[in-house]
Amino acid sequence: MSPQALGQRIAKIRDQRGASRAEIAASLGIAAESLAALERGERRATNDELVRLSEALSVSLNELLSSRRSRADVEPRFRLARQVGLRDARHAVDTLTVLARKFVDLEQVLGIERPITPLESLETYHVSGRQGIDPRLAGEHAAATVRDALGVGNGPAVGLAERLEVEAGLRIFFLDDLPDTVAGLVIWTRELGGCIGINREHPLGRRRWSLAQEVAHFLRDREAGNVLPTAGRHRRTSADIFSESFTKAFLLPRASVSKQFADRCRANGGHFAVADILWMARLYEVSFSRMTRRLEELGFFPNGTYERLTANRYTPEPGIERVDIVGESRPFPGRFPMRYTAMALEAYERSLISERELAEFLETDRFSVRRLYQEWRLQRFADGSEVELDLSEEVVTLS
Amino acid sequence: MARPLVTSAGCLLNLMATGRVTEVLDALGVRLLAPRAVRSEPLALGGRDDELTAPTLDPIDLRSLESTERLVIEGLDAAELREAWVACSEQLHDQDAATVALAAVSGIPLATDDRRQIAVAIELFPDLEIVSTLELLADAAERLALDESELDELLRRVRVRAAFLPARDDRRRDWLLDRKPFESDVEFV
Repeated sequence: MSPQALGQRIAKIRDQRGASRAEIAASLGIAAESLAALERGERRATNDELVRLSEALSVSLNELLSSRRSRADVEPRFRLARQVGLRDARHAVDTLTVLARKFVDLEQVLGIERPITPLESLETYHVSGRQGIDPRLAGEHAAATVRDALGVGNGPAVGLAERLEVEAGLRIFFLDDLPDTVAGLVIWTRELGGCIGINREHPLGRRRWSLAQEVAHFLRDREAGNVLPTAGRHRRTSADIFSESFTKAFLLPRASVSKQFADRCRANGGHFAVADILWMARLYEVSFSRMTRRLEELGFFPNGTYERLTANRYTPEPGIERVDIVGESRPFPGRFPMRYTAMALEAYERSLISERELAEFLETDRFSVRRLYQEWRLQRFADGSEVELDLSEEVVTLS
Repeated sequence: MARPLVTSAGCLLNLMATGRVTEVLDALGVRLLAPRAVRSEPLALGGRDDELTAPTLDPIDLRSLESTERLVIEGLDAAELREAWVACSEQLHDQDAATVALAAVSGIPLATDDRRQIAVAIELFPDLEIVSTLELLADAAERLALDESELDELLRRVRVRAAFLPARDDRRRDWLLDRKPFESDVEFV
């Protein structure tokens, strides 16, 4: 790495750490001006200085010296609900940014150039280009567009996270270390691409709702980013209306829900019971409350049905609304996108990263990462035999 | 006097998984050296034999190896070591880099199975001698005159407790794969 590139990296990391030049220089035992010269690339750091710099900046030597490391910053103009404090929001953004950087690191290791994704190039719904359009209508229109783009058709949008990753190039992480106040967040930079973090502790229906809401914010104003509160709502801004309208139309499309309702009534001799609401909620993988309210909205139930059905609700233990739990028999999603895990394993198989690095990319210990590697590499058959696959072997090469 | 051998964290994990690390090292006449970065990684083995389908993690305790000087932790304070460490760190994780630097500068063989570490070590220090876990175990088995069942048990433990899978280009890979414990007795969850 050239002294200039190294100097810029040192300055950037120091800046990200919020440390002054004088402070870092003092811990190195050099003058602030000497550090400044180093940051400008006017002089080369000695080995001792590099070791001490890595300690003072709390980064590894490899992070300091490797050209494969991303240091992209994310400075979203948070649209913050009052339910999420600045500290929680910053923590959530920092958590997601670290993972997004790792994703970029892996792409760099594998020589993958991130293409502009279909949703990134979709400007139709971007805030900058929409003057005077009803955000509710725009949200519904955007939902239809994204459904088409994902190939979801008219039915329930199952496998949503996977589809958004594969078809739209979004990087979706299910995080168990988000603050309780945060349901999800979206960040975007040209270098990192679109990244969404969803609170993994939330029930399936809530996770999907949060995911769709963040997709809407991404479509409308990705540069601004968004931090979605667990409880309560934003002010009823155009952004919120767009997001809510998009989410309903995307997860519970009018035509599809109406058809299912009509089919169910027909099959039941004109009856539609609470069990049918639950069945539909499971079919569309949304919460009981969202399903009931959507059926109210579409005019199939009288207004106030949800309140009536849940009038006797109680809270068995503090925490998330338990009545909303739908489909909890499904396993929780993994923390990382499947593509991220596959890339990490491929990089390891190709000897581009070490076992220790693989463990760090997957945020686990050496034993667990070995087992994961074995699970991917050794494929078993019904007769008990197994085959050892080379994860990096090219099957076809397209010209 | 035991000869020194610089060990990677991965190889150390494998040796500990045998459950007979002291015997193995003594039979080989080897004293392990490792940089502090290896010592500071919290290594753990997979759960006990009867818990194959739901492995727990058992943290490794290296104190008895250290107290008997079968494992010696080295700093990288000398200028020459630092220079090698920094050079390796451009391409390797700090811990991997420190291990290679320690071996290369001290002129001591390096025990590792990590292909990334090996590739960089060969590139920067072509004369560095590298040995794999399997080479150590095969040698130890011979010196200890282990019978078939003892050897099978030792290898089974390495595979189960350290989740060890040899590199494709390991020189003793065929020796290992021909043996029973590596054919079919491991369950994956």
